[in-house]
Amino acid sequence: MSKYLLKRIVYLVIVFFVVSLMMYAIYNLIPSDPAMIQMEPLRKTLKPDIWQQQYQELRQEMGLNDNLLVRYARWMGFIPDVNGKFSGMLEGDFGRSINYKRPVVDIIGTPMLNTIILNFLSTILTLAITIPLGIYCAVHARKASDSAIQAATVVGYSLPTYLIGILFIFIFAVVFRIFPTGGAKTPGSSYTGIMEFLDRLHYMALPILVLVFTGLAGMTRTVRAAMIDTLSQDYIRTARAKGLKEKVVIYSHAWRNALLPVSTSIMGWMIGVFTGGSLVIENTFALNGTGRLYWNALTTTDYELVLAMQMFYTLVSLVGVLLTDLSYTLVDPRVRIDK
Amino acid sequence: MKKYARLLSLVLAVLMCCSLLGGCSGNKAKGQVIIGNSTEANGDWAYGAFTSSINATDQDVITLTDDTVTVTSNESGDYVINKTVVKNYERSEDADGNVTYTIEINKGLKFNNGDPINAVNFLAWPLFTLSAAGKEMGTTTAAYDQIPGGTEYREGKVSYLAGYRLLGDYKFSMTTLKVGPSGTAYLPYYYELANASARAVNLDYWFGEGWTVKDDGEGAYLVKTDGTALAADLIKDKVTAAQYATSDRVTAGPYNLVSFDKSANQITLEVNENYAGDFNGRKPSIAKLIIVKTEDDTVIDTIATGGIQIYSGIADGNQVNAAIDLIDKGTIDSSYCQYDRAGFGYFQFACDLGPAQYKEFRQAVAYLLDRNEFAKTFCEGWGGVVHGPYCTAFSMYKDSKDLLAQKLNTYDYNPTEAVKLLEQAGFVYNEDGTDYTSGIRYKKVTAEEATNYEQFCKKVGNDILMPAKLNWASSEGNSVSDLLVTMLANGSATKEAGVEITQNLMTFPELLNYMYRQDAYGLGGDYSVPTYNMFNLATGWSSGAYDFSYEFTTDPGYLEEGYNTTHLYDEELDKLSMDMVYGVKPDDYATYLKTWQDFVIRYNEMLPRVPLYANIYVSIYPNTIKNYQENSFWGYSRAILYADYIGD
Repeated sequence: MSKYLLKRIVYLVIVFFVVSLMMYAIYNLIPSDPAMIQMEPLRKTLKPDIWQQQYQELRQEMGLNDNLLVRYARWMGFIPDVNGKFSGMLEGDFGRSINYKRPVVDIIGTPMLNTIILNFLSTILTLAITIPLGIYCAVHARKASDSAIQAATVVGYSLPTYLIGILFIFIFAVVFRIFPTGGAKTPGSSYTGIMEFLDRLHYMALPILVLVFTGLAGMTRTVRAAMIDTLSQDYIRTARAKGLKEKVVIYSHAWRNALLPVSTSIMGWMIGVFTGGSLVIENTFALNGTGRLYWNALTTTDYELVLAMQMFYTLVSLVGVLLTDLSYTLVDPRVRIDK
Repeated sequence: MKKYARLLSLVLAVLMCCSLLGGCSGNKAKGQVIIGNSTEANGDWAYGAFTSSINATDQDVITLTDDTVTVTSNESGDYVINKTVVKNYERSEDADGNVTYTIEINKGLKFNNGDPINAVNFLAWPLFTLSAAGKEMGTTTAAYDQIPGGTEYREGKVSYLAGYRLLGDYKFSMTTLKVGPSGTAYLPYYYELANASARAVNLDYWFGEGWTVKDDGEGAYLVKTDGTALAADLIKDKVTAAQYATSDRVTAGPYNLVSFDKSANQITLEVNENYAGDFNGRKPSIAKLIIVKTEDDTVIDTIATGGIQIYSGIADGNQVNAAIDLIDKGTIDSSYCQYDRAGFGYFQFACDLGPAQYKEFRQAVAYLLDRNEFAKTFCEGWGGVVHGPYCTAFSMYKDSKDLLAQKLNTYDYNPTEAVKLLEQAGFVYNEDGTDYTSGIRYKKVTAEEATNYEQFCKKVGNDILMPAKLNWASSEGNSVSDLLVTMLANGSATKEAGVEITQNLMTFPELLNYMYRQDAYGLGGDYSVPTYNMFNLATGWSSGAYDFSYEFTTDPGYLEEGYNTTHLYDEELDKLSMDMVYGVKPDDYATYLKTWQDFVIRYNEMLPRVPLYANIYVSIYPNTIKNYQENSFWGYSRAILYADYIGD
C-alpha cells in the first residue's frame, strides 16, 4: 500500500509540473502584455515620454523582457525573480493579480469559502434526495412511477441552469417573495451568531434549490443504474430465495454493493463542484464565488490569477483521482492495493 | 393661581426646549438607502495610487468617504476650489513660467476620528506616492516630472521634494514646472487648477504613529519624529492594511466606511458627524448607505422586490423601459432622472491604411450608415447621435450649439452623396481597370499608397488598383458590432455603393494590439504590421476636463509608442488638439472655446472617427428622498449628498 501510494505521489508531482509548464506556455501564447494592460489607462494622464519610461520600467520589474522558460522558472520559484528573491509557487507565492493589485492568495480565500459552503449544502441535499430516489426507481424499474421520476428529474438536467435560475427567481422571489433575488445577506444587517447563519441561509436557499434541481437527474440515474445492475445479481436472488425481507435485500445486500460505482462518481463530482464553483449560479445570484472570479480573471486577462486557480484545480483533480482510487479499498473489502 | 402659572411656565419652557431639541435632531441625518451597483468593488481605497484605472465602485466609496480635497469638480464637471477646505489661495508665476499655488486651509477641519486636519495632511500623500519608497511599493504616479526636484526625489537622490513646501500649520504650496526635466511642456495648461489638488490623509492611519511632514527650507519631506527617514520597509505593511481596510478607515468625507463585506459584496456607510461639508458646505441628510452588487440579468427583479432603491446610470434601453414600467404601474414607490451620457460609441479608421487614407472615402462610409436609426435601435429609444468628439453636457458645447449646428456635417444617411464622394476620391474602376459598372469599386493608386494593403490590391498592367474595402477589427460578443454588421457591413446601400466591409472577430485585447500596432510591446509579429483600418470602440469623460493632446500627434517617436491610433496625420488637428489645452491660460475661456470649436469642426470634416450613439442614462431613486439629481458628470456618489431624506 505505502509503495503504491509513493509511486502515485511521484506520478502526481511529475504530472503537476508538466501541466504547470503547459498551462504557463499556453497562457503566455495569448497575445497580451501585462505591463501594457496596467499602463494603458495612463496614456491619457501621462505625457508620452513619461509613459514610455514607466512602461519599460514595469516590463523590467515584471521580468517580461526574459524568455518564456526563465519566466516559468521564476513563476514556479526554481530561480530568483528580478529582485534576486525566490518568490514562486514553490515558496507559496502564487503571483499577483493585475486587477486586484494584490497577491492571488489574498483574493481566492473568500470566494472559495462561499463556493464550498454553497456546493456542500447543495451536494448534501442533492444526495439526500437522489440516493433514495435512485433506489426507488431501480426497485420500481420500468414502472409508471420510475418513468415519471425520470421524466421529472430530467427537466432540471435538460434546461440551461441560467434559465432555471431566472425562472426560480421569478417564481420564488418576484411572485411569492419567499427568497431574495440575489446577494448573500440582508443589506445593512449586522447579525451575529445564529441570526447571521439563518440570514445567510435565507439568501443561499434559492441558488441551492437551483443547484439541487439541476443535479437531480445525473445522480438519480447513476444510483438507479448501479442498483438495477446489482439487483439482477445471483446473490440477490439467493437472498430473496432465503426469504429475507425485501427491505433487507435492498438496503443491506444490494445497496452496499451498488455503492462502489456510486461512491466513485460521488467523490469525483463532489471535488469538482466544491472547488470549481458555478459561474452561472454565481452570476445569476450575484454571489462572490470561484466560478465568477475565474471568469472575471479570464475576461480581463488577469492571467496570474487564472494560472494560480488553474494550478489549484489541477492539484485538486490529481489528489481527487488518488483519493477516489484509494476509496475503493474502503468501500469494497475485495479491492486490495499492494502494487 | 400664581403657583399654577409658574408650573404652566415651567411646562411651557420644558416643551419649548423639547421642541428645540426636536428641531435640532430634525437636521440630523436619518434613514437609509440601498444602492445597486453592477461593478464589484475591489476594496482598494488608496485613491488609485497603485493602479492605473481605479475600480468604479471603489471610486464611488472614496468620493463618499474621503472628499476633503483642495480642488474638486462641480456639477458641471469643472474644476473648482473647495472653499470649505481652502481659506484662501494665491497663484504666482515666476520668470521661467513655473506656477506656484500657495494654499491656506481653514482651521477646525477634522478627520472622522476627531484628529485635526493640518497642512501636513495635504502634503503627506503626494510626498509618499512621489517618493522612492512609493516607487518601490508600486505607486503609478508620474507627476514627479512636472514638479521641481520631483525626479531626484523619485529616484531617491534627495529626501525632500523641492516643489512642495510646508509654510505653516495651515499653509503649504505646490509648484508646477513649465517644462519638466524630460523636456515635456506642462504649462500653460488650461486645466492647470488640477495641479493644485491635494487630499487630506491621516498620517497615523496610513503610515503608522510617529510620522510627520517637515520642511527645512529646501522642500517638504516625510519623516518620523525621531528623525528616521522614509523607507518602504517601514511603512509597507501599514499602507497595505490601510489600503484594503474593510472597516474603521480614518477619512474625512460625508460618510464613514462601516464595513465592506467582500463575501456578500456589500458596503455599508454611515454619516460622518465630523464632516465639514463639500465645496458648497453641503452635508448628507441620509444616515446610512448600503451598496450592493447587482446582476444585469436580474436587476429589474431586484428593483421590483425592493432589493435595491437607487440604481444609477441605466444604459440598456430594455432595462430603462422595464424600470420605468415599475414606477408607472406603482410596483415601486420611486422616481427617475435622466441625462445624456458623457461619452459616445464610435467606429474609427486607421487613416493611413487602404482606402481609409482618403477623407472622401471616410465621409462616404459615414453617409452609408443611418446613424439616427442606429442609435435609436441600439439604445432602444434612449439615446441619440453626436456629430463630433463631444457630449452635450459640456459647457463648450452649450456655448457653441448654434455655431456647431451650422458648421458640422451631420452625415445624414445619403447613399447618393456617398457615391459622389467615392467617385471624387477616385474609386471609379472595376476590378479589371475598366470604368466602374458594378461590384466593388477600385481606385488607381501609387505603390506608396498601397503599402500594407497589397493583399487586397490588384495589379492590372502598370496600374495598382485598390478596392473600396475596409478590413474591420471587431470585438467578439459585442452588440454594437452585431448591429454594425446588419446596418453597415451587410447594408444594401454599402453594397450598392461598391463598398465592402469585412468583419474580423477577435478578443478586445487583440483588437487593441492591432490598433496600437504593438511592435514596441514585446509582442511583435503581425501586430506591428498595419492590418485593419476600422475598429469599433467607445469613449467617455469622467469630468469636464477635455484634453485630446497627443491624440493626433504626427511625431514619429510618439506614433511608434502607440499614440494617435487613428493615424490621421493632419497638422491642423494636431495643432488644435495641443493648443486647446497647452496653448491657453486657465482664465482665457474665449480662446479655449474658439480652439475647441475649430478642433471639433476640423474633426468633423476629417472624420477619423464616426460617432454612432450617445446614450441617455436613467437613474431611479426612492420617493423617500427628494432633490436627487444625477447628471453627466455627477453620479450617485455626488448626487446623494444633495438628496434630502423625507421618509416613508
